[in-house]
Amino acid sequence: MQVHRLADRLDELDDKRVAFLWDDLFRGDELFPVIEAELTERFGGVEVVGYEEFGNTHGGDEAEVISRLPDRLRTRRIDAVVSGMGC
Amino acid sequence: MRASIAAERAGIPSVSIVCEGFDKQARATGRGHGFDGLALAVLRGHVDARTHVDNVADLLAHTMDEIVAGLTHRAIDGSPGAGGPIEPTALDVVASGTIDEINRRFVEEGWSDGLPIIPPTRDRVEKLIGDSGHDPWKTLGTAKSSGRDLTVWSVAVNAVMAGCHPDQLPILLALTEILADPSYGAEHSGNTTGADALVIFSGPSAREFGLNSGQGALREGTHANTAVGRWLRLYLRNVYGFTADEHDKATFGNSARVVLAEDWDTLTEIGWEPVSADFGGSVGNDAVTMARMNSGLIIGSVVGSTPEEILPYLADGLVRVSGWDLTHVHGLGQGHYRPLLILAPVLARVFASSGWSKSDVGTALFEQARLPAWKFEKLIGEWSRLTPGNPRMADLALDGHIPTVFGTSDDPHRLIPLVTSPDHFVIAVAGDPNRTNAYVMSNDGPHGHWTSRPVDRTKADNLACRLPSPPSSGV
Repeated sequence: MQVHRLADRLDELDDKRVAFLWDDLFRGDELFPVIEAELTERFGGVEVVGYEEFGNTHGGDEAEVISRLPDRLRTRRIDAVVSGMGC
Repeated sequence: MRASIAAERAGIPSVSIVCEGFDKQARATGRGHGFDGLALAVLRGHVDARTHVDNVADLLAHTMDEIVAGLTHRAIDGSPGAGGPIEPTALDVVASGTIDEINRRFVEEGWSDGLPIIPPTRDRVEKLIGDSGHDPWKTLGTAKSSGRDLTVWSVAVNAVMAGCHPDQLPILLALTEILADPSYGAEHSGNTTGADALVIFSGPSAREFGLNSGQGALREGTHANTAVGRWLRLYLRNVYGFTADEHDKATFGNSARVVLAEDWDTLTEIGWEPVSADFGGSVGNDAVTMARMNSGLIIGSVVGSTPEEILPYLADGLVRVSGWDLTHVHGLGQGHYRPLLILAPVLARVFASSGWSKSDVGTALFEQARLPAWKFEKLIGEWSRLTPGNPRMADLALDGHIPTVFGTSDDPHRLIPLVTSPDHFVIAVAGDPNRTNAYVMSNDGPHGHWTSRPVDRTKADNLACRLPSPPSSGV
């Protein structure tokens, strides 16, 4: 199996564009807003792109949503991704 | 994790939020895709067993810092990990000794299902592949969970362990093709609700394969049914990595399911098509069809000599076996709920003698197997939280997410169907030919979706090489 290098981490989240990805499960609709508020408070100029932009990452359309993800993330100039909820 | 892996693959740092207890599975999934050391942010406990206030408090106290650390240089240096422990290559001798010593070793290593195995010596594995003509190193796909190759050799190794015979190899290869098919969704085989795959064999050669389709169907005791079912579980353990240490998060599992063989003689007599025909198979050819199934329910002692008298029993059973799984109608799945109804031959004949086809039975069940809209909404929304927003079925129908039959009015007590189309009931014929019993099972939607493959017993011509020249990966 090919071993891949993880993406380079960011120095800080200030002025970065963060995408939320959600599998439509386990109260993500309750917790992602809290995460957004906290990121905004901690880091100046951080911008969140909501999970609605990317589709449900689990379930019937999963394969299609995941396959489109790299392009969608690049198109929206996303710097970092927060994905949930694995429960 | 697969979403995070896609982001990392695109060069974008990611962090995955998981509940406590999911970190092992999450890391194993990352390793299986070649991304060792994916960043995780862990929520304490399980979100559904805590109040919103408690969830937010823990998120702010612990998980937020892990989210930030996971995306920044503070936690991860970005270098590729070791990819997990080094695995033996295909021809390595991993154990030697007496039969007892070998079995003890296999149990200790987690390579067996807990029952004694036949040691997969090179000689036995080669004999199992025998003169089938298959190249032992031919790859049928990749296990999405572990990243291991699905080789003819690994199929045969686990077949020897399960006690399979060489003539069963075509069945096992067909099942491996199903596992490799993205539409089946084998990577979900370790989800928490613990569904297990059911294999249905359809075709004229059931008897030749030694498969039981009659009395005691679904019970171990007939070699072919039992050994093939055991092979599947071993293959999911040893090649896909569905063990508690890696990818299996089943809260409650099911025992390895023995193969259900359809009663070919009865199907032929009454002119009904086999299950495989529902999924693209050719009638008259041998095929295996597989799906992961959740709950099962016996419908005992059905009384009736006409379809109209029998149908209420069957409809009631289908309703009773369907609970949270209805989220595969809308939510987790989208039109993926396709429960199974197994009719004993005597019941199938009641329908057939009245001129009913399987399609007619499905149409009647679509009308009769219904439950109140309010309960459907509770099951997929509030009572499982598996469909966000507690949607109303009438609204979903209005918005075109589900067929209009689900939204004929706003009356919460109106009865709505279990499935999105009458042909979504999967109907098989098997079991004791003279008892009026039936069995129903709910399925796990896209987490092991109904998929069929022909069983091809013709000698393969892909033998490109002979031993020894294995690739460098996996058992």
